[in-house]
Amino acid sequence: MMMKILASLAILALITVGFALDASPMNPDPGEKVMITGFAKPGEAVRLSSSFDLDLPVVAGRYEYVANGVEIPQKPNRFSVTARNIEDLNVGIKMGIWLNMPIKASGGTASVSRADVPPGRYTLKMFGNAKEGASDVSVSVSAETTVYADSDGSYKLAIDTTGIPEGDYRVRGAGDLIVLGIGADHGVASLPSSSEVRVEDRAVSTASPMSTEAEKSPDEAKPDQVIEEVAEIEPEESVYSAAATDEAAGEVVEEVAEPVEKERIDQDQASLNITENATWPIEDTVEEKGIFGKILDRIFGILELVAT
Amino acid sequence: MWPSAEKIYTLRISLNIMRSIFQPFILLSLILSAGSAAASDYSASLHADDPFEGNWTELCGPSSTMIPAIILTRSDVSWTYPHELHPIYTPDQNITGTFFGSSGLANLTVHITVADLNISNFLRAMNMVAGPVRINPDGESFDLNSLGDVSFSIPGTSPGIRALYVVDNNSSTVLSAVPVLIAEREIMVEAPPVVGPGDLLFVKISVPNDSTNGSINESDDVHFHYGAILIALEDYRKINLTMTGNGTLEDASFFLSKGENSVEIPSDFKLSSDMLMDFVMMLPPESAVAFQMDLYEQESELCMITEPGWAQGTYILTCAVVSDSGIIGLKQMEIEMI
Repeated sequence: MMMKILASLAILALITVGFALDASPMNPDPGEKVMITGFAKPGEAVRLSSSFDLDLPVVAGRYEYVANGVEIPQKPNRFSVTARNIEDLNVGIKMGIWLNMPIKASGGTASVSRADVPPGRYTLKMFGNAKEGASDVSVSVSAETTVYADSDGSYKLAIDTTGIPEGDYRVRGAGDLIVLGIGADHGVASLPSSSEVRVEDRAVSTASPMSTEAEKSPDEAKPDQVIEEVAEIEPEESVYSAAATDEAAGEVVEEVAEPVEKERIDQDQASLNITENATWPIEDTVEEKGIFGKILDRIFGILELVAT
Repeated sequence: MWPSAEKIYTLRISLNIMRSIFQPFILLSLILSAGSAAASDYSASLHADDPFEGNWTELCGPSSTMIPAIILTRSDVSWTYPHELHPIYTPDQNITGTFFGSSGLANLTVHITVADLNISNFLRAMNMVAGPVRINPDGESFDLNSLGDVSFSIPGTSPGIRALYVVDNNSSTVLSAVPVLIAEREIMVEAPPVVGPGDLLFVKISVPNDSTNGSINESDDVHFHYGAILIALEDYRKINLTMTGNGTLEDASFFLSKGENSVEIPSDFKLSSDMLMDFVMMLPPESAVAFQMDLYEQESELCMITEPGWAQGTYILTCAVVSDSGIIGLKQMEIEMI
C-alpha cells in the first residue's frame, strides 16, 4: 500500500514538473485574480485561452446574455462565442457605440470568433431566438491571448475573474488544460484527460497579457445549472499520463514555430476578425484581417479605387 | 489625356455599406471619380452661402437622405453647402431639381448635363481646387427665369455616382455642380417608427425585384451586404465635412468632424480601416451599427441595440444594401425614441 502511494506521488510529481501551465489559486472566489504561470523556452510565445459555459434560460422563445466590462488585451487576441440550441445569434459589442451582427445558426448552432479585437474594455451582448421548444440555450465564451516567456523561460498571466460565472473556468495553454472552480461550491479543479486537450491549444504565438472581466446578466446561469457541469469534470487523480503530457509539450514547439513569426509580422495589420459558423476551436486565422479591415477591404474592393 | 503629374483617382460606380451608412462618406465618395470623356475646359463660377443666389443646384426625388454639413474654407473662397437633403435615384427615375443662380444670370440659356463623377473636375467646379473644369458640353438646354433660376427634369441613367453640371456654354463656365447618386433599386426598410431607450430596434431590409431590373436569381450569384446605422438627429447634424486648402489637390485637406473630434481623410482619398475605426469611435455613444454580409437572401433583419440612458428624440436610421457590383439601395428613415 505504501509503495502504491509513493508511486502515485512520484508520478504526480513527474507530471507536475512536466506541465507547462499552472494556476493559483485553483479555486478562486468570484472576482479574485488568478495567476497563470508556466515554463517554455526563453522568449517563446505561448497562446493561452480561457473559457466558460453558460446555460441561458429561454423566455418567450428568446435568450440573452450581457457581459459588462470585458477587457480585451492588446493584439493579437481572439474572442469567441458559440451558442447551441438556437435559431439565430446576435453578437453585439459596445466599442463606443454598439456594433451588432446577426449570425444564422446551422443545425441549431452558431459561432462567431473575433480576432484582434481593438484592446479595451467592452460590453458584450448575445441574444436571439432559441430553437422551438428549447428551455435553455448553451453558450460557450472563450478569450484567447498569448504571453512571452522571459529569459528564464517562465511566463505568467493574471486573469481577473470578476463577473465570470461561478463554476468551471477553463484555462488552456501549451498543451495543458486547467479547470478552475470559481466559487466556493465549485472546488473541483483539475487537469483533464488527454482527449480533452485540443491540438490547437498547443499552438504558440506572439502576444500580450490578458485579463477578462465580465458581470453576470440577470438571465445567466443559475448555480445549480453550473453544478451539473462540475460533475463532468475529471477528478483530480484523473490527470494526464506523463507520456501524454510530454507528447503534448513536445509538439508545442514544433507545431508553432513558423506561425509565431507569421503572427508577429501580421499583428499590426490585423484588427478584428469574424468567422461565422465556425466551431471551437477556431482555426488559426492570423492572416485574416479584422472585422473592419475585412469589411473595408470588401468595400474598397467594390469601390476599386484606382489611380489614373 | 491628363497631365501626368496630376493624380486622379477613379471610382467605379458603386457605393458600399459603410459609406452608405456613414453618410459623410457618401459625399466623400461622390468626390471620388471616374474618368470623363473628351471634353472642353470650363471655368467655375464661385459659390456663396446663399441657397438662392449662390449658384447651387437643389435636387429632389422620391427618396432622400440627410447629409452632413459640407464646408469649404480657403483663403479666397468659402461656403457652406446649403442643402441638407440629397435624393437617391434609381435608373428609371428622372433627375429633377432646381438650379438657383444669381440674379445676374437672369434669362440665360444653360445646359444641364450628367457625367461620371471625376474628382478633379468636381472639386474644381466646387471651388475646392483651382483650375479648369473639363466636361462634355452636351446636355439639355434650359432657359433661366428672371431670377436666374430654373427647374429641370432630365432622364435617369445607369446606377452609379454621377455629377450633374449646369454650364453656360457662351462663357464656358460651369455654374453649378452637384453629385448624383443612382442606386440599382429602391430597397425596402421596415422598422417600428417608435422605440424606447433600451429596446432592441429590429430593422428588416429587403431588396425587392422590380420591373426595371427584373428578378435576382440564385444563379446570379449575387451576395448582398446589409448595413444600418442609428444616430440621434442632433448628433447627426453636428457632423460635418470640412475642406481646406490653397487651391491645389495636393494641399487639400478633408476633415470629418464632430465637435472637437475629427478624422482626417487623406487628400489622396485612400481610405483605411484605421480611419473608419477612428470615425466610429468619434460617433456619440448613443449610436448603433448593425451589419450582415455575404447573404444570398434578398432580405436581412438587423437588430440595433439601444440603451436605457439614450436621450429621447428623433434618431436617423440609415440603411444600405450593396453587392460586389455596387450599391443596390440606400434608404433613410426617422425613428422616435420615447
